[in-house]
Amino acid sequence: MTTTTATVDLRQVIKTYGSTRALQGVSLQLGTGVTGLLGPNGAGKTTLLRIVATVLAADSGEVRVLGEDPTESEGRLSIRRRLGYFPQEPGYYASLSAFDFVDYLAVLKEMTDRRVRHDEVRRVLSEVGLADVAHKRIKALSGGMKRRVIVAQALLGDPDLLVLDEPAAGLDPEQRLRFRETVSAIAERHTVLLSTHMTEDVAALCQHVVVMNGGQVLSEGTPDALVETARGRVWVSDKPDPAAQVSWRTGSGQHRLIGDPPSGSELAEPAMEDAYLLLVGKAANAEPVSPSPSRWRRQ
Amino acid sequence: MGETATDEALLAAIAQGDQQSLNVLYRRHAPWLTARLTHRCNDREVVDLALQDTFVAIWRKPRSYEGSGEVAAWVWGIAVRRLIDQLRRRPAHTPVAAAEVVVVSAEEEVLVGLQHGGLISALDSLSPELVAVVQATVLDGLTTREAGRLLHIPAGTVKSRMSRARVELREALT
Amino acid sequence: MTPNPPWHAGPELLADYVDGTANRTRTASAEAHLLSCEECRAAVAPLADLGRLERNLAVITDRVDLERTGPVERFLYRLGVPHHVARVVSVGSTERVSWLTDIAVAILVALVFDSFDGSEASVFAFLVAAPILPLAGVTSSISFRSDPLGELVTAAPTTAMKVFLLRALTVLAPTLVVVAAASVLVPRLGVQPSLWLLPSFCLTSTALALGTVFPLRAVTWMLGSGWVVAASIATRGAPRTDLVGSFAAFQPAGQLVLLLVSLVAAIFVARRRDSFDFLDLGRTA
Repeated sequence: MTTTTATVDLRQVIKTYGSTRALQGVSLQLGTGVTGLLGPNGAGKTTLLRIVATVLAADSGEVRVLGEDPTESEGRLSIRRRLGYFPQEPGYYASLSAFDFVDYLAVLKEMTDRRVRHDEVRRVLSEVGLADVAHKRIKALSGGMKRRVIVAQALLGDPDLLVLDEPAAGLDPEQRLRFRETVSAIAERHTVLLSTHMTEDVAALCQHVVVMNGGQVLSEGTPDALVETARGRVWVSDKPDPAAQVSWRTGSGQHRLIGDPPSGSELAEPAMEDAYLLLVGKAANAEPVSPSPSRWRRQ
Repeated sequence: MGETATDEALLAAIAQGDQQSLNVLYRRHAPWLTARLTHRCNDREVVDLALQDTFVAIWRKPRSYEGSGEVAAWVWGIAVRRLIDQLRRRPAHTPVAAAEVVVVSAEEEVLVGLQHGGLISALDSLSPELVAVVQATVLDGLTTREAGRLLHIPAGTVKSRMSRARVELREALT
Repeated sequence: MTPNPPWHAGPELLADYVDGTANRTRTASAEAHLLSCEECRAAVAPLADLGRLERNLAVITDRVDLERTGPVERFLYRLGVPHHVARVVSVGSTERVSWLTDIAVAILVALVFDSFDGSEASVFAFLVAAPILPLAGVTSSISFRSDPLGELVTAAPTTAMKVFLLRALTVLAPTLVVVAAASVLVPRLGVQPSLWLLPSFCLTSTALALGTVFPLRAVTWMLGSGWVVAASIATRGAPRTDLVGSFAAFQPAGQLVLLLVSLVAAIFVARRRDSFDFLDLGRTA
């Protein structure tokens, strides 16, 4: 494989488990800045992020992260030293304080000097706004704060690449907003790859969007470019049209339709959600296709 | 807690487990505490140990400060008792009372006298061992027994010296 | 009434005080003033010996850190274990305690008491049960499923294998001590620790080795029950007075075999030290 300057470079990556093909020959080159991975549950986002985060190995295809090959143990080590990861289902040691939890992970990130390590733990905790509750036990923290603890550990050592798998999942809108602020502050100085199934997250944070479904990349580009793909395909009407590709009733009582123009409708200004739905269709509301992560054949 | 927080606020944060606040409190008080402890015992190692013991004690029981009086005075109370504990472990030591007389302006003497009700200005007229006893019991707030441990004399001697000191001070102040 | 003029201990007084060259009067007045004036306290700071101040703070920080640790970690420090290693070992240790270990301990204790009569049957029972304890302990200490941080541990530069071995070793050590203490109480066994040591090593290292390919819990159950089954089969029909002698594992030849298997397993683990590097088990890329 030729050398690459991309932060993440995937070529024809395939990953199968059991009888399901989670990734069907995905190719992607990502640079700096914030990239959003958008797709419904079961699209293969988590599998892709796990491969980038080096916790899974691809079955075939080429993978380079930060210029290194994760299939080699030195390459893997080098990537892990420069990477911060927020897994899809983060676990906690609930009886530890936020400080001690992040400290433990700092030890795993090879920070053996205690004074230096403690300074770094304090730094990342204040970067996510948890400096005042650093000594509180994790079980006493709110859901949003718990997730910020995981973001904090991802920031340890000032990594070159941050991989965040649905970091704001399960948060209420107010928590989401605060979380988005945290992430956008971080994004100013780090390269971030984050996945989500909510278009507002992408619109708010990302310079680059990748839409995935069924283990394949459907589209890639800037958020504006993605929105443009829906231009001329979004309509508003007083009545529903069963022939529309996707349609729903908006809060104002009208119907928003995507697809060919039905009679008596008006053209509407497209939004990212429309473009996303156009690409992904009914799968956007589908049940997860892939087995959940707990079915991994782990120890 | 930041550098501008009050001592009381720092103690409250320490009670919550915030180690940074302990560090801030330390940087604020350790300089004068070290000086004052050194004026009671000129053994550097003993003073260092007493200082360390003091802040570990503060970490363990920040709530024993009941909110009355200056935090600095409360801290000194802990520090001097930790010093005594350290001294008890050592066979012999020479405590240090205030150093030699230095010529001072009359104006300063008067101001000082006004500030502290005249007691302190009268100290110069006392002999060193009486000054040490007055310093320990009156200025440092130690009990007779604690003063005895600090000065390495029996409690009875502390009492008799205090009586003599009172007599002499009364004479000096009238 | 004491007047309260805005009198401060000026820079000269403070400097003399810190030096120790102020007379008793000025010393006492400086001290009394410092107790109630934060400005002058702050003014003393630049006069202090900074190196000494920082050194003392370092000692205080160390001692306070020690106060915050749990009993497991403190025990490890006392053994001289470096701080970061103790951290890795003890974190989440309460959350990983396995009911398996509890059962194993209970059985062992029961057998110890039972064996006070020195009878062959109870000694044999003890010897068969003793290796189960370290086996269960090691499994529970490194099991991914019981570690909520499994994925983060995998993604960290410290290899998961290193973390696991560290935990396994630190579980192994005390369990072996426990078993050793128990065996001292069992008559006849005090001078033959190899009778239960070698089976312990063999079962544990084989479990680890197989655990790099198959799920560890399944492997543990298989090995544990296999061992017990082998013991019962070997002694079926044997005279009740010579149970220990009827089981090959407790005979010199059998013990040698156990030792060899342990070594092979250890080498296998070493060569497959990358096998916990990925979430999907057994994958070395």
